[in-house]
Amino acid sequence: MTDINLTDATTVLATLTEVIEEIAGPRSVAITRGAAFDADLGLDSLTMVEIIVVAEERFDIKIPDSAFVEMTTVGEAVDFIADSVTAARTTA
Amino acid sequence: MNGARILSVAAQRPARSLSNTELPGDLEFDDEWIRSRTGIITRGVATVEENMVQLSAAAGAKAIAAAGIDPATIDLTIVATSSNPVTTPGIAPPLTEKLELTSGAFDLMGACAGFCYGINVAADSVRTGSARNVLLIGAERISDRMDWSDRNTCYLFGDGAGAVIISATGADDDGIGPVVWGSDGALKDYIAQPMDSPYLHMDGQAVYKWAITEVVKIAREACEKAGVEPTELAAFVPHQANLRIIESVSRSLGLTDATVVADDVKYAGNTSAASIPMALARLKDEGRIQSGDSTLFIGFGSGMTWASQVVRCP
Repeated sequence: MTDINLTDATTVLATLTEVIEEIAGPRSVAITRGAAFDADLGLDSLTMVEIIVVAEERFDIKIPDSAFVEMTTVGEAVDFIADSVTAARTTA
Repeated sequence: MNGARILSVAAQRPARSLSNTELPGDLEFDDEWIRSRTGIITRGVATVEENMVQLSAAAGAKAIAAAGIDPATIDLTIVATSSNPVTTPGIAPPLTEKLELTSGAFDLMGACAGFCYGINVAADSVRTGSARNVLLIGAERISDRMDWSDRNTCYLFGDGAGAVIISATGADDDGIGPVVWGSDGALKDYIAQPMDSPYLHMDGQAVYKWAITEVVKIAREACEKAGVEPTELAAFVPHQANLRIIESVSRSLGLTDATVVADDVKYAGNTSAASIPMALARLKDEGRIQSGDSTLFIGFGSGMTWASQVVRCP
């Protein structure tokens, strides 16, 4: 994981897609930045909790509940994760 | 020092089983929504006559009969519960009267982990010779504390009782593994009955997140202490809080179809301290597990508190 540029949004999207499909299985629509977690991808709040827990481990960041409740699309999650990884590496 | 083993298991379910569209109160629920979020199809709701002593005694009597022991050899009776309607006496003493026992008797308040705490207390009692046989019961009437207008909780819980007989055996025949137990009191508000309320309150999302991250670790530790890999388990009988939690933890443990996973929550709801013995009884009754099968118990809940051990199925 440390070899992957997890500050790059494209890479973050690919990794987050892996996490989503590991937890919830393949989706009937493409997992793109514009996809809404609930309306487009059919991911309910409990599934989202699981995805966030695994994403925290995969990206080695913390996603506060206050940020989590604001994320309604894949793109919002990707941007938050990329920013968090960047911030973590800057302070490391 | 003796060994300890579970000799028998039995359950007592309320006569009345309510579907997701039959819940008391004025709220309306979508059956499919509840099933998808929790796995629950029905839950038992006890009548006034099915009080705590009645439920406990019925389960206890069945467990005693299934064990084939002389009731006079039961030296200790433990009732794991948070449903005693009064502070004193406990449920256990009137229960022993009803079963015509004169054993030691006390209640154990460990919330949803109470049964697994009780397993270890009972096991240590027979190992040391303090008791020849222990009657351990998990029993609850959570409906008494349910706010039927609370959309966050009222569909989740159910009533019932499950009982086991734990018996002394040879030291080389021990069938109850080392316990892993602990607590995180900083999370005491996750599931609680506030001082100014007669009802149970729960932060469902916080509990769910805690459960899918922490229960796996506890389960792995219990397996490691027992010297088994999770994938070697014949059965996994976790506290029946929510089928989604059970499925998530099972996945994280890497369980395959070779391990039977208890799913009594579908029919009983979350019965707190009663859930593990009731779930075990269902698996036995349905022939899905056999005597001698290695089985992982894990109880977890309000506190937050937990206890877990690998046991040999009765």
